[in-house]
Amino acid sequence: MKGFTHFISATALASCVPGATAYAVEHTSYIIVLGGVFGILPDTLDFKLNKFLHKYDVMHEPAAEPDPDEIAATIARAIERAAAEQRQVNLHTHTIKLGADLWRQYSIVMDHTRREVVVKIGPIVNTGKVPQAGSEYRGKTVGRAKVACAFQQTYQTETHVSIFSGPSFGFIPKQGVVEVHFIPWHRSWSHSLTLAALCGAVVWGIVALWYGTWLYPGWMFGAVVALGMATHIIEDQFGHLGSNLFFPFTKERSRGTKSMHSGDAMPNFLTVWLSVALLFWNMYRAHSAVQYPVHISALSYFLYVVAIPTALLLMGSALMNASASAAVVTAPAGAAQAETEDEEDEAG
Amino acid sequence: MVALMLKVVLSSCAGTLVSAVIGWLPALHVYNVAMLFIVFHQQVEKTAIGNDPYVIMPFMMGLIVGWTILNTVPTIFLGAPDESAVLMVFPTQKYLMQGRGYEATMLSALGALGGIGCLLLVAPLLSKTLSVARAVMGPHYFWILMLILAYMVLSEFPKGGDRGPTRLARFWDAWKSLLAGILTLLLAGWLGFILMRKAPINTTFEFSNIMPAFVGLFGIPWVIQNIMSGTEVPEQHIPKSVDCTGFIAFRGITGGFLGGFFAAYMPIITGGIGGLLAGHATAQNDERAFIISQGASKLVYYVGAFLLLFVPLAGIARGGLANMLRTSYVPHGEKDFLMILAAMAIAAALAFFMLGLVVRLTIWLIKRVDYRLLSWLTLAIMTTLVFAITGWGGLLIMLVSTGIGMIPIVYYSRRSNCMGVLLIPVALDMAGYGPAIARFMGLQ
Repeated sequence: MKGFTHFISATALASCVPGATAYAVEHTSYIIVLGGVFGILPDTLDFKLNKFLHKYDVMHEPAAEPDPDEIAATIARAIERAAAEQRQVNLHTHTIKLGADLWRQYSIVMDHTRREVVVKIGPIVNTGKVPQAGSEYRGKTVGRAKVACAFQQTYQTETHVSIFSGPSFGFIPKQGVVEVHFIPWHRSWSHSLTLAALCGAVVWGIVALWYGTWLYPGWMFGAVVALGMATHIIEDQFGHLGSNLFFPFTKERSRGTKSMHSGDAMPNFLTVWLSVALLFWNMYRAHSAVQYPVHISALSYFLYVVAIPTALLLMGSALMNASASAAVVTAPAGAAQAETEDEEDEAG
Repeated sequence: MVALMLKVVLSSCAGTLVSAVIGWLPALHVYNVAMLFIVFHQQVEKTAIGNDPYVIMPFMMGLIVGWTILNTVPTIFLGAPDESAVLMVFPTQKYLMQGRGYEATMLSALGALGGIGCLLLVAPLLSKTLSVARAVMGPHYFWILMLILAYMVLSEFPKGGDRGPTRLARFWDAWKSLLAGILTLLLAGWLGFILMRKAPINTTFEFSNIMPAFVGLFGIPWVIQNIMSGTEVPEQHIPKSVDCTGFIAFRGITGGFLGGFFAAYMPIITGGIGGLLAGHATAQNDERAFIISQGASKLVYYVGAFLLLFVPLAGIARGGLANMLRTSYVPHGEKDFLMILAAMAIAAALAFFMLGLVVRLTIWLIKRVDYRLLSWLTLAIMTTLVFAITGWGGLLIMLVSTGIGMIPIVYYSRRSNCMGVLLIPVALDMAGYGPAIARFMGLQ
């Protein structure tokens, strides 16, 4: 999901910790803010730390006039190297920047059934990924390279390389097959429920020391932090990539449920809406009825703020999907393949 | 009744016509003009017109609606954005450099019109919902503001860091822009603390206190960048239709409305920040939806903030204009609310019609006048206005703010960090930490 969705949903769930919202008001405390901060922390660690400190064995910079055969061969050799050396080989391939706002798009298909890597050079796009008219590549547009060993895709077969930073792959040999892991530095230790529990415990300890008492309010701070971070990790499981849920006890990312892509508008907006509704309800429950004589019926609130808007959003989404499906049916073969997820979408 | 309707129609039209002039002038904020009108109003209060709220209020609404719509033109063509428009600069500047400035203006105006439509649509619900929201959320404002501040810091992603000989080199390259962003936020917050406690200017109106800082943080750095880069604006095309689908427009308008209305309702949050939050909340990635959403957000922020003053039973005054007017007039009842809604709709229709003329005139002008000369002229207008309204003290603030506002431009960090000038001192004041920090800084 998008960063904002993680942030607001973590805040909303943090406000559900018994007594936390009331504590915020009564003690002028930023306790609820901690929920949001720790809710976005896993991606902050990955995209501001892990990404740059990750070690690469191969860094490939395609030329401004790219040779698709050369790109495909570089990737194929990296897969073979992982098999030959029986260790993880990390590869990063750069984007092709042509100007302040112009990029040459290309896509990488790692077809494990045919044991080949296919690279297709696409049009020039701007930073909004909008193709520029008449910018189709005039040189060789499709390049192929055979891979001498067996390999297996764990995420998706096609990756579009468009803007900003290019994708990374980790090639891990395992029982005679090289597994291809997309952006291996992402959703590893930073996205583990173990770390969430540890952060909660540490914050509990700090608050307990500060106040000189073990239980209250330390446990509340700890719960807000752990819940905020866990919200992010659980939400990410609805995507494709999955997370390393119990690091260091587990070594690999467990697969996501593939229910959505991180950049999908509807699940993101619906989560934001429901989070805001929950946050407001918790504020209402915590507010002083003597000081502010307001009464909101739980049933009316649920009906008008939760049920009806959710139903309308889902209906709208279903209608849009139906019209999109109709468009795909009438579109030329292959057009439907354009919908893939890349690193920028994951970045949220 | 007919006389009243006529008064409202004529006054809102007059306000919109005045806005056509001030909206075109870069950096002339509508609140400065409104302030001058209020001073003028206080002088003529004893006359029939001066004492008539049904003349003054629709006039002000016309002024603010017209300015919000027409000010898009200098924002796009002259590159002098106000603080609520900082986020729309990049896509619209791209459009301008592709010769599509007219298209960008129309997309933004489409968002603004959509914003007016949304405001009219939700108007019947405002009275009850806002009074409840105010009662429930009021005690929580301090941490909500800190939440927004935290998100602004945490959501900034590194620019660069992709290429470098070592991991450390890549890490440092990436973190340069992030550290610059944090530094901008802290320095702006520090400046805000000083301005709110010991500003070296004497002004009657609240907004003028912060106005030189806004000009320095947002306006002047952009103009300096234009002058230094020596931008050549390409030939601009005026197409017969704009490339946009109904779904993109819908997504942009709803996102912009939500962000703008949140900003209008929440203290201190501006349309730019509201737009940023709404853009992230609705997962926007289309440039057209982005421009439309920023157009809607800016309008809903300014107009919505003024409109809240008139919402029966809500009792909310947000934004400089509403706060200024509240000193001389308190709206009451549904009649005033309906009157101001009518004025809003009339002004929007007229402003949209005038926008086509203003944008064509601007295209004609930039074809004949050197863009760098226009940037110098913009700089001169900004400096003169700051000096005229706030004097030498204001110029000093503007200079210091310009230094802070240049940091994001040099390091490619997010310019909305400059909003720390309001967010940090107000959030800390609301939580009760302000006096202690002010004492620490020697401001008390």
